[in-house]
Amino acid sequence: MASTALGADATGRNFTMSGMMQKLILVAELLLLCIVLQETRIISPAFIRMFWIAAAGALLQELVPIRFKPAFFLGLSLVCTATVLQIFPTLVLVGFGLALIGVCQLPIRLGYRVAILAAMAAVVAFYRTGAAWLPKPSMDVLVIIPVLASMFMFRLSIYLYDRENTKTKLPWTQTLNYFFMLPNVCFLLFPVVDYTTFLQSYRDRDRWKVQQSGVRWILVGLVQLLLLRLVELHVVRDPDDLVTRLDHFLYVVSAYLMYLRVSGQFHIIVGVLHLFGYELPRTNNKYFLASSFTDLWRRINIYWMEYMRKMIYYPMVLKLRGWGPVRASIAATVCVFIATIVLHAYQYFWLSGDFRISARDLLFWGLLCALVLVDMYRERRHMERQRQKGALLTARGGPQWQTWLGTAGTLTVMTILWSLWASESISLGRWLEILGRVVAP
Amino acid sequence: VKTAFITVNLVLLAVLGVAFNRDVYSRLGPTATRYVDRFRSDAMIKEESRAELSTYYEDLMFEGGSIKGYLARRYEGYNYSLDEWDPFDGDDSPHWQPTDDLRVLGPKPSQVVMLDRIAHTFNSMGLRDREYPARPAPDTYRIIMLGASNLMAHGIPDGKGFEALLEDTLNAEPVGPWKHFEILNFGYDSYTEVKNLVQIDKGLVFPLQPRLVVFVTHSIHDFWEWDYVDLVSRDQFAQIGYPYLVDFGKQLVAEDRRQLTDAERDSVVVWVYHELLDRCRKASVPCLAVGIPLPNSMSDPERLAARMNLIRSTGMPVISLHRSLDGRDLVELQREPWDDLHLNAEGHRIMARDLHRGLLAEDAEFGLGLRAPAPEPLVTAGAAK
Repeated sequence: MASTALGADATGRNFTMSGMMQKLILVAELLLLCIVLQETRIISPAFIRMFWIAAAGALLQELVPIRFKPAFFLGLSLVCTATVLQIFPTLVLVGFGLALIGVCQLPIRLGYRVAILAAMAAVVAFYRTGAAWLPKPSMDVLVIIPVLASMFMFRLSIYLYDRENTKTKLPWTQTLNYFFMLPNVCFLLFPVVDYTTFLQSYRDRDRWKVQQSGVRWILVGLVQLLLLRLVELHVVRDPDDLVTRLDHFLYVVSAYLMYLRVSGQFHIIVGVLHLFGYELPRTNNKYFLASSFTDLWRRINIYWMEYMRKMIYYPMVLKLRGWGPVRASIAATVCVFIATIVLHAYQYFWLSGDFRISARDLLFWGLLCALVLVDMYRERRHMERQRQKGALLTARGGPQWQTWLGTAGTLTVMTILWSLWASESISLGRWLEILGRVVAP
Repeated sequence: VKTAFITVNLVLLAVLGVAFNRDVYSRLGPTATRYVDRFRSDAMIKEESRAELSTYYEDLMFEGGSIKGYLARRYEGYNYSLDEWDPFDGDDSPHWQPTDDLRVLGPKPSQVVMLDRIAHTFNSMGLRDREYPARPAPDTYRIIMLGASNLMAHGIPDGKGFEALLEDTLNAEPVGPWKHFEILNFGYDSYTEVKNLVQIDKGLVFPLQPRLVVFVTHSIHDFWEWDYVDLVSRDQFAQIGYPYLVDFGKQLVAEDRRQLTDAERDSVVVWVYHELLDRCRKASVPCLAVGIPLPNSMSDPERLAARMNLIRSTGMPVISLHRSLDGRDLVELQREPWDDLHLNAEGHRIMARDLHRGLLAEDAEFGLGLRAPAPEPLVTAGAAK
């Protein structure tokens, strides 16, 4: 019987856990997860229903030969999608998705393929706006647009990019898994998973360890969502009902805390993928403890940062290398933030049907960009000094108290910035008045 | 993978699973039950927190871009104006017909509308109900109920709404000298009291010779406001008609507002119930208001009780069912997971049961004439409870 090193007992001796015991533990964990999701109702009923099927699939896959496991995951993903959308819309979704992937495979120049994809996207976008003058297809066709968009709006660009920059043949089943991956149908706001990372993260052996980290990520996500519920119950304040200084303070801090919803859901998404052997990296990493704005950029919504780095930052730095490293880096960073603003509006359009770039959006991202640039400059100067001293190059340094001070400062500034961003329902003057009440002596 | 790690996972999951089980936490007392119920209900978030914060991600992860919002659109057609999918949406739907009054739109008679894949049958009078003769037989006690979507039994199969169930119960267990009971369901989406007043003033109610008129209400949102504010913003004051509401609308325009304050809403409630009571008294038909709770944590019993007390202050007899859902898990009474404004079949069954009890209990006091028919014409007691 297969056995795995588990750790050490009280006497320090190594002991092992049998394969059967591992399976029993996994069954218990998944069953408890299903019950907790059902009882807490912290996520949508659609996901709870889907998770029961996914949990059963995670256990059943143990019976599937290794080479068929990706195909099994694809089948399960489609079944789960059909349980949420029903069969006909799922077929439409898959059909249109295959057409998009098929265009990427056409043996024509990249520019032509991009043009065809853009034309297809434009047609769908017109329907997304609900334009009355368009011929009306079946509602079953129209309703899949946000789900289709959630699966393809960013991943298609990464797939096309990676396809152009790799010489190896890309595996079809894993490609389909990449686009139709199981939990996506329940989370339209989905982390921008990188194609290469997705392929490289797959483990067809030693699943137990990956599955255990999956259970942990789901649990971490759940705890974050439960904490968020506490925030919603006890911290969030109506801007019209602020009386005490504490009320004003809680109003300001609550906005940034709401990001727990994003990180909680992203952890759960990645955790579900771990159950099927995709050992994807974490999506957020203790972002409230970021010690600087560049550090924050590396910790919060990490997949977005990686996407921007791959698609915008590095290509721009390469293109502008004639400007010198500092100028190229600054210009690329500015481009990253401009792309972030535009792509956030693009994402908003596909998911909600409205194109949103508000003055607050520009202010928020603009200020964040400026703060990141200042931090980049400081880090560069620090590294220059270290280089001159011949010391080992590190991005950060200094005593511990400086790190803590940096963390407190970053958290404070981000809390204020996020509050500014989230307070669209009140005027800027009113927001400043609230902030003034918090900081006034 | 360490044993401690696995143990913590299992223990934490077991603790969460037990702590959020309603059978467990409901033993901790009503306060704890109410708290955890709210904790588990995302209706709370939608109504309370969500309204105050509008972050990019919050917007995307709630109504617009969430799977819940998506499913709501998927099944209800929200935000889509495709009449072949949602017959209740869009002015150009073949199932609507425009009205030249505050109702704005009304149903067309004699049609079967599919909503959320459930047939909603409208009779030749345009009521979601079976066919009735124009006049009731002498041994028939006819009730007319007016109200909004929950009375219409939005999303519930024909004959399973509380109005139909109450009618079945009354006919199965006849009261007093009456051999038959008929309840005509005038309920329709967004038809709250102000639109009920229009229905009466358009002569739709009293010619059908009811022995009792019932106004069904609840505690959250006055849905008629959407149409009203829209008419006000387009200066369609003639369509609003009532001088009180016209003046009110002109005040909103002058102050550049599109929302009513809570105090203004209360004043409209008082005004409209005075008007409704006045119409019923003139027609010599008893009337009463019935307050039903919704499966939404914002529709808490105290809030509904407060509204019903306000209505009672106008002289309108009141049956308040604000305690009917006590001890029940509200989420399990929602019509669909994404629809916390409408009761499901079980919720309708509870309403029918409690309204039946309420009518029998208040029969004598309100002079409803269920057990002892008064000589024609009936005269309402109209007294406050």
